Amino acid sequence: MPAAPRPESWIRVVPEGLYVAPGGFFVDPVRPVERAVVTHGHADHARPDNRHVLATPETLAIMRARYGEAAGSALQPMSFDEPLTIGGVTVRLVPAGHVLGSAQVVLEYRGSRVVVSGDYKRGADPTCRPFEPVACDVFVTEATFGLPVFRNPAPEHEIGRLLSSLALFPERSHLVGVYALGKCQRVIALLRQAGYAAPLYLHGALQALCDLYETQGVALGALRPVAGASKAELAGKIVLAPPSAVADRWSRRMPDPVIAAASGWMRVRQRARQRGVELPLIISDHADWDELTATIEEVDAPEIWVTHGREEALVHHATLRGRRARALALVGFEEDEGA
Amino acid sequence: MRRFAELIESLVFMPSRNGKIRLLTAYFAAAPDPDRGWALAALTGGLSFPTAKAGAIRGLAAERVDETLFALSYDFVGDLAETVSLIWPGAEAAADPPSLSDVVDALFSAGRSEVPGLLAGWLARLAASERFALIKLITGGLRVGVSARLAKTALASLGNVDVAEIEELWHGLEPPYSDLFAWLEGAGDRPAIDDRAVFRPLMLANPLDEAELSGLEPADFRAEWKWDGIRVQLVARDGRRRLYSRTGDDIGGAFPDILEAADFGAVLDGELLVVRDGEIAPFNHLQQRLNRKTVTARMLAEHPAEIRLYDILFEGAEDLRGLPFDQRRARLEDWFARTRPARAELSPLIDFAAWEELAALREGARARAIEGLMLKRGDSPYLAGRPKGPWFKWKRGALTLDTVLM
Repeated sequence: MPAAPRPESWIRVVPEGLYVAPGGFFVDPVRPVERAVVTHGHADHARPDNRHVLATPETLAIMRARYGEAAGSALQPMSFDEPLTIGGVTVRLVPAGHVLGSAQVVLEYRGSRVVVSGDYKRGADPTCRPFEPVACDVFVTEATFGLPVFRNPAPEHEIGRLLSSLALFPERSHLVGVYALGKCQRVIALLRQAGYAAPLYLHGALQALCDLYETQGVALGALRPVAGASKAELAGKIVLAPPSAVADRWSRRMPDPVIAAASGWMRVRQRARQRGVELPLIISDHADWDELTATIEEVDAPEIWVTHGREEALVHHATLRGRRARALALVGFEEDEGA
Repeated sequence: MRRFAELIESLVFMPSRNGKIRLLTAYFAAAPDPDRGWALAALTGGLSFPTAKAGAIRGLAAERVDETLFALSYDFVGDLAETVSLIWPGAEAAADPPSLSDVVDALFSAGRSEVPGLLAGWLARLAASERFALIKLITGGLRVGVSARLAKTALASLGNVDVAEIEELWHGLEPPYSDLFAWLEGAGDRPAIDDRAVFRPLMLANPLDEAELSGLEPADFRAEWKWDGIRVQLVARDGRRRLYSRTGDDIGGAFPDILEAADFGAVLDGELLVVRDGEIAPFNHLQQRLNRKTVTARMLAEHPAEIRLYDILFEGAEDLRGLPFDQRRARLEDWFARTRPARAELSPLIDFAAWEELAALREGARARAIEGLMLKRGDSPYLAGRPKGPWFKWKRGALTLDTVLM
């Protein structure tokens, strides 16, 4: 059997995104292309106006809910662990544990295996399937929280802090800033796990995706719209809203709200204070530093391509441990590398 | 340590004053002695550990974390205590954390060389927010937006007493304040303090809204100059002498000349000034004397301090604060005539019959040393704080200059 090809000979970064040449498709392209494989439904990964889109059924449902017709002219659902061969490249989707339907894309070509993990986390999440590590030659990892200061507490602990605050300030509504896809539903599911059964109040922008999660089998309990609720009704209640609405005049309808936010960024106090947050909840859908470094060890790839965030620190760390690591943006642009 | 860390954490993010008071009160009610007392001391700036320094913490981090990763992290976070607390390798919630009083006791008795070992041992047993609280405790300056006054207000709310009562006791108490908490919770008597040299909370005035004047009867009020110095309280009894600022800070170290002259038994309220040959010097001359731990002989000679007396709170052990202003003034004048204290003058009362007369005097008072007028009801007892009605300050208008920018 001939030696496996060098990864850069068949997968590289071009202006449209990460291009898998023998298959003629892109993974999470940033510009409209003919054929796209999409890891998950967040807007920086799933963009509109591609022609053929391959993704998990949940991701496609999210894209249809967000983009309608613009989600793509041919949407091809692919379940986890049902491989497909495209132009000699075997494509397989494996759970990434990030949000509902999120997948890693496992690519194999002539004995060379590259895993594009998309966004991922390792902690438990009642709203999606957990990350599964796949041994590979190249591991493409995110680094959103790629600094050793990002080491997150258990989400149950953070939900406990929200409930304690609610007990301490029973006359105030607790307004929690959450991203519409993933964080919102995870916070709801965590509250339900903690035994909080009261209705939760939603900003209008969050309703559609919560409905979608419900139809995909994620039970969220009683949800009510904020619109139409009186100030008195909102006292002592938990209200979820997108981060942009929390700072907006929209939030004035709450009675003296406790401003909370659920995000990995809440780990750094000054960041939280800049956003006017009174109750920072460190709940992240991205891998923290320990998860990033442990995952790199686990998949044990000799080569690590780092993208999305603080590449420098993670590249430094992986290099110290004897792996060939670099920022993904540079892959394909370093002519002499590996020659 | 866990409760204290949770308190620090929630105070950092609490924007409102009332919210902070609630958090503090809830903490004081829940935390055991002596932890809560040490926390109170830390919050009011009464706790420092001379052998523990920020450099030790940085050194410990450098032994455990790659230099490049630490630099990138510090650059991102921007605060040493926070960077170290987050980057410290170890479990998020370790078992068997030390209590706040374990930490305080050990630090008080540790020599400089023992501190790094102690710190490393604790940091390994604490979660991130607890590590942050520990490092802030050691490096001083919690910076959680809590003044000593706010902490005392929370104590008052815990015990359902007036904050003036706390102020009254404060300077006679020592950390960890177990007697104070026992009294506030009804489990003990009011602490018996050696009150011979304690600070008595000052009575403060409200700004005068000139529209109010027509509703006030001139005969009910006394007027005096408001001097442009700093308001102080001079306490002298049984050989103990203290000079306190308006907020109860002991500033006596910078004014040995004032303390030396206080060879009497009284608690006096007045304005601290620099006075040369009977002339009051500008405020910035007084500033030269402030905020110093020690003061040179030359400074004492060139910037001699003096007090203009407004009021008398105690004569000997006799508390005069319940008397009306007119009676206290008579006692002050009588005491002054008998005692003839050095470095002190009576601040004179100003005769007037109508508000217009006083308004004209105020407008004419352009001397640098005068900030305006004080109006005090003749029947007003000396009350702690800023009660509405009995005292007014009527500052002179600012000089204005109309200019055109071309």
